[in-house]
Amino acid sequence: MINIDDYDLSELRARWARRRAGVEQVKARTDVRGMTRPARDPDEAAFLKATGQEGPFVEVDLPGWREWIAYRNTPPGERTGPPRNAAYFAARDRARGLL
Amino acid sequence: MSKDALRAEARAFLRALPPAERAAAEARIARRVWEVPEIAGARTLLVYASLPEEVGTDGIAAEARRRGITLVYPRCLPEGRMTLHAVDAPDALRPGRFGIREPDADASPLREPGEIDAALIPGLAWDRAGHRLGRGAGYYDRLLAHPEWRGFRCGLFFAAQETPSIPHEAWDVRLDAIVTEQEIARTTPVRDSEDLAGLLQKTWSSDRPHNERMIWSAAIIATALHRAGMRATLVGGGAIEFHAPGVYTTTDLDFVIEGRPRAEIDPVMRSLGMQRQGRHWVMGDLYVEVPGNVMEEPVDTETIGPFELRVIRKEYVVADRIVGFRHWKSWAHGAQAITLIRTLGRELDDKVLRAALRKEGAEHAYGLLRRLAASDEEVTPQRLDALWHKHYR
Repeated sequence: MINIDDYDLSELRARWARRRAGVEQVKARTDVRGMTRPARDPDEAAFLKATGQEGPFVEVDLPGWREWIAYRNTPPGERTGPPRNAAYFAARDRARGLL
Repeated sequence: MSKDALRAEARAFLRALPPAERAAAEARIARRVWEVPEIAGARTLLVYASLPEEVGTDGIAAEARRRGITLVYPRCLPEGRMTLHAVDAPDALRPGRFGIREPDADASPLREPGEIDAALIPGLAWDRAGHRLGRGAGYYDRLLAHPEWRGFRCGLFFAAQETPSIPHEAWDVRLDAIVTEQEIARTTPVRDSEDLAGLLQKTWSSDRPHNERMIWSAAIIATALHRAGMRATLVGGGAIEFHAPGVYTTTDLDFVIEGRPRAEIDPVMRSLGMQRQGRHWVMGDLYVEVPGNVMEEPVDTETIGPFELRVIRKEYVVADRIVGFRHWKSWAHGAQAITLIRTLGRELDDKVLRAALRKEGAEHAYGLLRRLAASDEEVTPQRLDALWHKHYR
């Protein structure tokens, strides 16, 4: 069995630490109230809270968003209808009163 | 039997093989080779340009191209050395040393041995221990013994080329598998998903930092998919956790999975201990989703311990957040975009980011969010709402 403790992630960790410092600077002046949701699983939520890793969870489930992502990741030959971009999906769902 | 005697015997057999029998056997080999997970899952495949008496590879190469696999061909140099070159088109090969079709060294980019995921290797005879008998010049022996070599070694032979035992030295490198018209003879065990399932469970329930658990889990899942012939790329929130941990904490992994029909994903996920729930595969609070089957955006390939993980490039991750702000009026996306822009700073390729945004009609919003990121102003939903309405109402 592979043991992940046997592998050296120091290079990645150094990159993450550098970037995390930048993240913390911006988060200090960011109000994320209303932008978050808890982890789905209570144990996971408790674990993250206890270890200080409870971050902003954001549900990215806006109408049209998932459809846009799926459209983009469908082979061009399998796409139907005219070419569409994010603006199209958002405008369509806004017109439908979903946004 | 000596190597010379074995070579003479093998050559006699190959010369006497009736064309129709040869063609039928080659067709079966060309189909069977894709049943080897390490071949089907390769991104870069070393192929030999077959001589008339060797198992033909042109059909295999055509299928590899159809699957989007990068093909690499060897070019023989003096003193038993070979260079490896990526070749796009089948007509790019020209007769070279020994009459073997070879890539043009000037027109075909050089590839290093360490870049090869799997290799198809010819020979005159094989045995069940994985030894092969070549033509005696030692080209492949030197290549496969290269210190950077880590690819899967697969011999292509006719079944009748098997011999009980090929004389070998202790330092000879053995093949990992031999594909014939009758079977796939493995000399190294199939690395099935059982060990990965245990590893995933152990990793996810460990007390490592959240983003490390996410990234290891993503790498394990991608590896299981890779072994089943699929190419998975981490996108969405999981990719944010990879590029800039702390911007966003998620337990969802989104993968674009290429290479095999969607129906083949489920057995792999189940073998990892994940259960299907709607559009997700779930294990505890780890949710996996597959939003598509084509990856047009550039990716970074990262090494995570013994695994490789493909992750969508950071510019595209940032672009998505900006698009969410611009078109969906999502203040959460706006706040994340600001954090990413400020955090990644000069590491971002501005041209790449702008091109991605232009395609989605969101380049202007990048300018707005970039200015806010550079300032020391508070980032609140009210501030983002006001910014959006000032410019886009």
